[in-house]
Formats: sequence, C-alpha cells, structure tokens
Amino acid sequence: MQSELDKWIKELRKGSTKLAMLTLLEERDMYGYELTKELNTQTDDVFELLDSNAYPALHLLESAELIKSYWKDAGPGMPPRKYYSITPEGRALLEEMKKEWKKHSEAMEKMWNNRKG
Amino acid sequence: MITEFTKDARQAIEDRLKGIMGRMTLAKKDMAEVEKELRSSLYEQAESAATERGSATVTAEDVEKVCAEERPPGEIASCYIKTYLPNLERAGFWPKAVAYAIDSAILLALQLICIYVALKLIYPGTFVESLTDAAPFVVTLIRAFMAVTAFCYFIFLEVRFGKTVGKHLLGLTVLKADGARIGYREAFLRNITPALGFYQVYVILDALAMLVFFNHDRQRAFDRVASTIVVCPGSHKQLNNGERYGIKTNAYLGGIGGRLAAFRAMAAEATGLRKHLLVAGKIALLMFTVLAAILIIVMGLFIGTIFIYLTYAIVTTGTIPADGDPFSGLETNLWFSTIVTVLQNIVFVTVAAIFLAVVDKKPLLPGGPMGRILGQAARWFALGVLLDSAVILSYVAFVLVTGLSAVQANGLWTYATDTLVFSIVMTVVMTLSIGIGEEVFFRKYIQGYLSEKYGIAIAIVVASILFTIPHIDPFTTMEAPLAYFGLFIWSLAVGYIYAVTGSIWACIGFHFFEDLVLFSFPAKEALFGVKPILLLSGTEDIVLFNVAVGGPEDVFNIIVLLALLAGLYLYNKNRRMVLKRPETA
Repeated sequence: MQSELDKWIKELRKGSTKLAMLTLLEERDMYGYELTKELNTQTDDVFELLDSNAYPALHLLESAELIKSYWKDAGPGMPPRKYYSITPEGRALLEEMKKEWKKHSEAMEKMWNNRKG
Repeated sequence: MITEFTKDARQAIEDRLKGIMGRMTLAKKDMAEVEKELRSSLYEQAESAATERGSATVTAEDVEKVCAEERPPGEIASCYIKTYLPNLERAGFWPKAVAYAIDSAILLALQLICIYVALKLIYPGTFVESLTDAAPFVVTLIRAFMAVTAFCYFIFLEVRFGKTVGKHLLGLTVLKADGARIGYREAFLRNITPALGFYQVYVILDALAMLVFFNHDRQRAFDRVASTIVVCPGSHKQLNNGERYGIKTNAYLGGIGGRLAAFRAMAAEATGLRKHLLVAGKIALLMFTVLAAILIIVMGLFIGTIFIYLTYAIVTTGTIPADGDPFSGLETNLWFSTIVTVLQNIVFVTVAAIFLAVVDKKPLLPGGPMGRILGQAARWFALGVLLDSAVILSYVAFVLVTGLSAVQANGLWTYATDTLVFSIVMTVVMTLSIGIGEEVFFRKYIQGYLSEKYGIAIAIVVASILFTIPHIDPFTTMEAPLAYFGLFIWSLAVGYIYAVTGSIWACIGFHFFEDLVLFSFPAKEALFGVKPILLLSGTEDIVLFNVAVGGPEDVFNIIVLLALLAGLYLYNKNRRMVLKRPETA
C-alpha cells in the first residue's frame, strides 16, 4: 500500500515540477541551488527536490527553450553561479499550464463535493 | 558574511565531482557545462550546511553531510545522461565496423600468441604444421578458447569502461537505451554475435539487421535484444538549439563525410595518450598503405613482364624457355628499374596527396601565380643541389684522395657515348623521381604533419627514423651500422633544410643530387643497371668487437653532415636575429 502511494506521489511530483519551477522563475531569475531551496521552503517540503534532480529538469526546460541560462559571478570564494530566467515562450506556457491545473483541481473538488452531497 | 572553505573541503568537493563526472558520458561541451554547474551546486550546499551549524568555515565534514543526503554518484550521472541523451549522436555503421576490426585484430593477436605457445608445448614444428597435426578435439578446444576469450574481452571492457579498445580509439561508448551504464547482462547479450560470430557470417547478418531494420536507432539486432545503444560523445548531434552548444551547422549532418569531419574534430582535440595513439595509428596506416600499394604495383609489373617474356618466347620459339629463373637480369635492366622506381615514387606522392586531401582536408597545391611558384621552386632546387654537392662531392673526393678506394673502371672509356648518355638520362629520371617521391612523402607530409602536432624537433627525428627503416634492405646483404646511422643523420639534415627553408624543393634538389652521384660513382658494383661513370673499389670496414661497423668514409660522411647541420642552425639563428622575419611554414 505504502509503495503504491509512493509511486503515485513520485508521478505527481514529476508532473508538477515543471509547473513549480516556471512559477518560481516567473518571479525572478534564480540559480540552481536557490531554486531547489525556494521550492522546498515555499512548499513546506512537499516537493523535496534534490539538487541532482533539479539540474537535469532545468536542462530539459532549457532545451525546450522555455527558460534561458547565464553565468554570473558569486561572492568571494564561491564559484560562478548559473542563473536561469524564463523566456516569453515559457511565460505563455506557464499561463496555459496554470489554467489547466486549476481546471483539473476544480474538477476534482467538484467530483468529491458531489459525492458528499 | 564571507564563508571560508578549508582545503580539505575543497578537495572533498573535487573528489565528489570526479566520482560523478567519471561515470558520465556526455558530449564534450555538455561535460564542461555540467561539471561547472555541479561544482557550483556543491559549494552552495556545503556553505548552507556550514551556516546551519553556525560556522563561517566550511569543512570536509559539511561536504560529506551534503553528499550523504544526495544520491550515489552513479545515479546522479545516469540521471544527467538520460536528460542529455538526445544530444548524443549514435555511432553509425562505419565507426562501429572500424572499432570492431581494431578489437578483432588485438584479440586475434593475443589469442594467436596463447595458442601458438600452447601448441608449441604439445606439437613440434611450425605453427601451420602443428595446427594440421592437432587432433580434432584440440581444434574444438581452440575454438572454445577463442570464443571464451572474446566474450571476456568484450564483456569485461564494456562493463568496466563502457567501451573496448577499438571503441575508445573511435570515441564510442556503449550505454543502455535509457542512457545508463550497461551491466553484465547487457554486455553478454549484445556481444553474443561479436564474440561467437568471430570471422563468421552472423556478425554481418547482425550488422545488416541494423542497416535494414533498426537504422533509426542504429542498433544491431543483438543491441536490440540487450536494449543497448552505442554513442559517440565526441561529436554533437545537430539540434534546434545547436548554436547554444557552439555547433557549426552542416558539420555533423551524417554520412561518411560528416562522420569523418566529426572524427577529425575529435582527433584535433585529443590530448595525452589518445593523441599519441591517433598520431601513431595514422602514421602506421600511411606506411601500410604505401607499402601495400608499392608491393601490388611492383608485383604487377613483375608478373606483367614475365608474362610478356614468356609469351614472346613461346611465340618466337614455340616452346616454354627452359632457362629457369625469369627474374634473373631484371634488376640490372635499366628500363625496368627506371619504370619501377618512377612508379614507386608516383605511389609515394599519390598516397601523400590522398591523405592530405581526404584525411586532413587540406589544399594540395599552394596558391599564387604559377610563374612565381615555379621560379621559387627552381631557385630552392638549385640551392638544394648546391648544398648537397658540398656533402657528396667531398665524400667522393675523400675516398679517392685518401686512397681508401681506387677507381676500378672508368665508364667514360668503357662505354660507347650513346650508351652512356642513355644511362645518364635514365639515372636523372630515376633519381629525380626518388627525390620528389620520398621527399614529398617523408618530409612534406610526415614531417609536416608531425611538426603540427609535436613541433619541429620531434617531427624531424621521427620522420628520419621512418625514412631510415625502409632503407634497411633485408633482402640483400646488410650494410654496416655506421652507414645506416649516416643515413639517419643525412635525413636529419634534409629535414632541417625543410624546416629552415620551408621549401620541399630544396630537399628534392638535395636528395636528387645525392642519389645521382651515388648511382654514377658506385662502390664495388653498378646499381640498378646504371652504367657507372666511375666504378670505385670498396673500402675496408672498421671492426669493433668482431662487428664490421663501417668504413672511415662513413665516419667522414657523418662529420660533414653534422657540420652542415651546425651551419644551418647558425644561419637560421642569425637570420632570425638580424631580419626578425617570421619563419616560413
């Protein structure tokens, strides 16, 4: 039972990581580590994304041209950071995704409310 | 707050990075980017771990804590490979076939050594004799041994390194279809045909299955079974975001030309051992091609000559001539040796030109007005002749004046004028072709190529070694060691002339005149059917520890050549100092 739930949660995360990342980048440009940290804190660790998971996901977004990256120097003693910024295409997709997400969650709510009623 | 990293912490980060990157197979450009990104991430994570425990100094323990929270390096690497997989180009038929040929050669060499040693212990006689003597079960045993060793070779190397020796040389790596590293199961399955089908038809069928059915994924049938792919990380696949990776459009569009371009790019970037292996492989291929071409042409000429001779004999006499060896006399036939020599040197020039045009993709001829080029060539040629006359004429004068060698016969008195003129014309044709052929091949191509890779000094020495070896003629009596050493020094001098003048025509003039004099003033016996102008008697060799090392004239020759080298060196040094002119390439 537990493993079935785990599996489902994994799938759910996989589907929503892209949406969450684009949402964060819509606000401001972020570097990889900052992005995973924000994702974990803002969602109270619902996402629990590992760094090593985040980078390949970011790469996929980048090759789809939804986000862009650039290198920027960090503080003294630290290596340069790779910042990501959202592209107009990314913004457009994000709006569509948000709409779809709302549609789905409202539909779910409605189904559950109907049962109760 | 400024965070400090201890030396151990930095080291721990680099170790961790090495662990991850070592398990990664990505296009080169991606590798650098990913490494930079992962390093940055590790620094950030370690810093925040230190901040969490209220310290401004990041220690190795912080790094270890971060690593413990993450997944093992192998998993991280495979996660990356999966996402970058579309960027990796699949290896096509030719690179795979060449890699397999290399592996087969290595494997066969190792196997034959083992089999040879084992058979020697049981059966006496030659290898072929012992093979024919061997009992049937021994032959079965040999087959089994070959299959098992082939399996071990392919499976061990592919699991351990993701590639075999041949694949390494061609820059190929085996991966699971999802990008992960392959395990024993995959390695076993995908190597059933290469290991068992050694020299047999299954391998070809397997490869054909790739070309016919699975060409899109570039998988052999047993790649399909094992669910594996072969990629070449050295080259990038053309993607819509190709420019981001700095990929030149059209460079990797596929086809043999595209793959050659990718291979060339890989070879140009290669460093360390791989660079040396690639250079050595190319030189070996070059020498092999020249040798094979010369053998085929000379053999063809021999067979053709004998065929014509026999036909002529049968037609005129009606019987097959009984005088046995039809080869006798050919090597002293001036027509024959001139034709063979000219053909041989046409092969030298052609092979060098093919390598330059096809393998290196470089222009064959220099640009500029033809008249000027010819004028310059003629001047350099004359300079070469002049330089050599100092060397070779002093050599001839030395043996005559010191009385080491006496004139045995004077060609000017012995031969009729027309015979002598014909001989001289043929000698000029022969030696000119030798000068052009050998200089273009050994100096212009080999020395030029090596000096691009390793600089002039190494290039001259290696090219001279390669020049000297084929001159050691195993079929006739070996000359004294000093003579070969002298030839090596002679080659160094010519190589240095090329480096200093930048003109191959200077080397051609030098080489031409040297051979012209040697052929015209031979010692002991006439060469190649040339009528000598002066036939000299041989000199006595110096014997050291019961070995005839060579005559005093060899020592003299080496001294003169060393003096020439020193003179050229000083000239070049002064010229650069006074004129500050950049050296012509």
